[in-house]
Amino acid sequence: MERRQIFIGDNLRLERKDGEARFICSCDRDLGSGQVNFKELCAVKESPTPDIGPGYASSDQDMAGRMCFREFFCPGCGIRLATEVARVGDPYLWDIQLKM
Amino acid sequence: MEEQTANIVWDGMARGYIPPEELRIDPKLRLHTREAEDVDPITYEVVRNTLQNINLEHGQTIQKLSISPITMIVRDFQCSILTENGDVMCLGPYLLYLGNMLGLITKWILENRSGEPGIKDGDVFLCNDPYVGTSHQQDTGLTSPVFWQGELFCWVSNSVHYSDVGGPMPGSFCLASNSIWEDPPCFPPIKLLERGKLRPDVEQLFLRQSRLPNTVAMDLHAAIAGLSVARERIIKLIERYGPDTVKGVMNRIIDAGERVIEEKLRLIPDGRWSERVYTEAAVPGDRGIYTSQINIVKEGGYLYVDNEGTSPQVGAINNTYAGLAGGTLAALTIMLAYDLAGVSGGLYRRVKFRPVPGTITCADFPAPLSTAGQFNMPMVVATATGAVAKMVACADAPLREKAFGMADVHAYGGSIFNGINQHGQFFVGMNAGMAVGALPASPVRDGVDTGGLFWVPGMEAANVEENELAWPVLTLYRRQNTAGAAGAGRFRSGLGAEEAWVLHGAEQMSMEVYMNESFVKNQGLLGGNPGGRSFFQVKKNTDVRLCLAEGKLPQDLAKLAGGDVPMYFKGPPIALETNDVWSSNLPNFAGYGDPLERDPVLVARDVAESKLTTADARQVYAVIFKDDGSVDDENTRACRAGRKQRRLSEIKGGC
Repeated sequence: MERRQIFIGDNLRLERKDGEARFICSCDRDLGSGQVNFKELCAVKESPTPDIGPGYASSDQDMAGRMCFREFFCPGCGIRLATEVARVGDPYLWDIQLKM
Repeated sequence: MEEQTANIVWDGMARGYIPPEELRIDPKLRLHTREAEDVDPITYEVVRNTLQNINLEHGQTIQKLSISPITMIVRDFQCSILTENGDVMCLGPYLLYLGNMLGLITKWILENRSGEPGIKDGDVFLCNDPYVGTSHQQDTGLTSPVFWQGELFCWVSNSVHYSDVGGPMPGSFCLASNSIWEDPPCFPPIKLLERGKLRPDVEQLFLRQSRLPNTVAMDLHAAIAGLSVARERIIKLIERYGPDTVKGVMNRIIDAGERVIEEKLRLIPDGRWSERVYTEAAVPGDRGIYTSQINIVKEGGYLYVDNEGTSPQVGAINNTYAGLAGGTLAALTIMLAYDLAGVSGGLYRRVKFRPVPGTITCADFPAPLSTAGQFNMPMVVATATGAVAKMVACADAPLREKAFGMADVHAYGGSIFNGINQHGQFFVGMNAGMAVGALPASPVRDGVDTGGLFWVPGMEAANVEENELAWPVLTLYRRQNTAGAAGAGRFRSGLGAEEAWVLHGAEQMSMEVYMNESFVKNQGLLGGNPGGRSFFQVKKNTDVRLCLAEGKLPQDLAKLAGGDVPMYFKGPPIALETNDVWSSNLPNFAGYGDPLERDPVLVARDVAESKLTTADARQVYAVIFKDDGSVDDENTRACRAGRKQRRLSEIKGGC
């Protein structure tokens, strides 16, 4: 089935524009090419996992310090499009690759 | 990846068993393959429902006759009816990842036992070998052929968690194993019953390994009884409707399920979705961090699953192909086959695995596997859930609404302990109180508070009183968590729970398996917060007895006198004594979407129900309340807009 638009959750979509797939935010900001990991197109904040909130505090600071919490925001409106808990230094997980 | 798998023999010995498309079955075994193609709709429905009810009765028989709390109350088992060639037709509402394993064991038997010693009417095969097809040695499978007039008509199978099947650790979870020879023994399929007669030599061989032979014997006989009931009912069904009609219905049930899955797959765009989950501590004292990754490629009418990106097998945190396939199919069953009432065979036809061997989620011999039930299997389910949820969230409506977030990464904060109980007898306890669980968030609604574990739909947490009857413990409290940052999102996770215990009727016991996560392992879904950190705490030499003597029931571990024990994710056994108190917490699971997008009405509802403080409502959701307790819409909008702006300005500023 030919698709011109694929919604990824509530605030992100892949859309064909001028013959090219583009990631578009719900604020209509064009994030960039649909051929790359959309996380690379976001504003990214990386912080220690205990900083997420009280439910994340750890008694093992050394182990917890080797992990981080990443937030991926639309650079246009600041809405949070994705999060990931990752080992510090690991690449962003390319978790959504769509064919259009 | 294909190069890695090209020359590997997936034989269930050197590596996990993957059945070929065409099974190599000895021709002297006659299979019943004839089927009626013109079954009328009424007969079809009667036979279909009867088959499903037979399977349910199979499960209820196990539950009623077993005596271990883990089986009798928690329902950590599975039962299934399979076609003559081992294809799973239907599952019970129990541990979902075991369903596929029963198919693997049965197919392995068809390929490796149909010649010698042969497969005969009344046989029951026992298998607890994870390389053949179980999750870990404790989840021992029984599978039995159902014959009709000399032909193998179908199979009935079950897998039950047995409390202790040997090995160096009570309960058989061998945390420090570095090879299968430090684990409980593995039995490839062997006849426990031959032509309907129990083989006492084989039964004794199995029970002889256990520290709890009487308990395991009762549970084993419950499992045999379940098979007997199912077999008898199927024979009666055949007598009434004829073998070709019953077989025709069985095949049509699977075909119909496959068509439903095909329709759902048409709603999903082609693509590739991945999830990555981190775990730690291959053995106690290890400071390593390891990855589990599952990737799902959807191409036309099929799904292709691999685990590329997963860490090489190490220490005691491994599972075999059976676990990878079973855990992935469990997540797919819940999000794609939710309307098939346990008829999962059609789904299984549409999923192809391309596993990377030698990894912690597809380990080769001689990796140890006994801890998989507690650590790896929930992790595989969680990893698969993340990948499947993102795939389903990209689907057209209404399927996209069926996506939901990740649940527990390591089995529901469970703990395993042993000692001498209040009756002077050795016991092994598995605390599944945390099986109260929580359902994660979805794109259209909050998760369900203490709503169970989706990968074991029929699971129930033991009542506090049942735990106190079974083991020498007193529960100080069991309560629901609050809805803070953990699992926050546009839709929040259901709330998990916490409980605390003290010894009662015994002076000591040993806590062998516990989980105090060093870092959060859950992942949020599409902008949601991850679930919280699962923790386990022990406080030694407290004043709990004094409190109880004064008629006070302590409700907060932090307020008790005494000393905290430094805890690791996995540590050595902890000796618990009379004045010690311990607590375990099952955190809230994954949230969905940006918390700043949550409807303030839902935030206010949580505050009104004392599930969320106004401080957390402001901190996590940027919702401001007026003095009268109502939502201040104007200030909430302004606060949220400012928060989003600040996110970007802080990043631009170098945060």
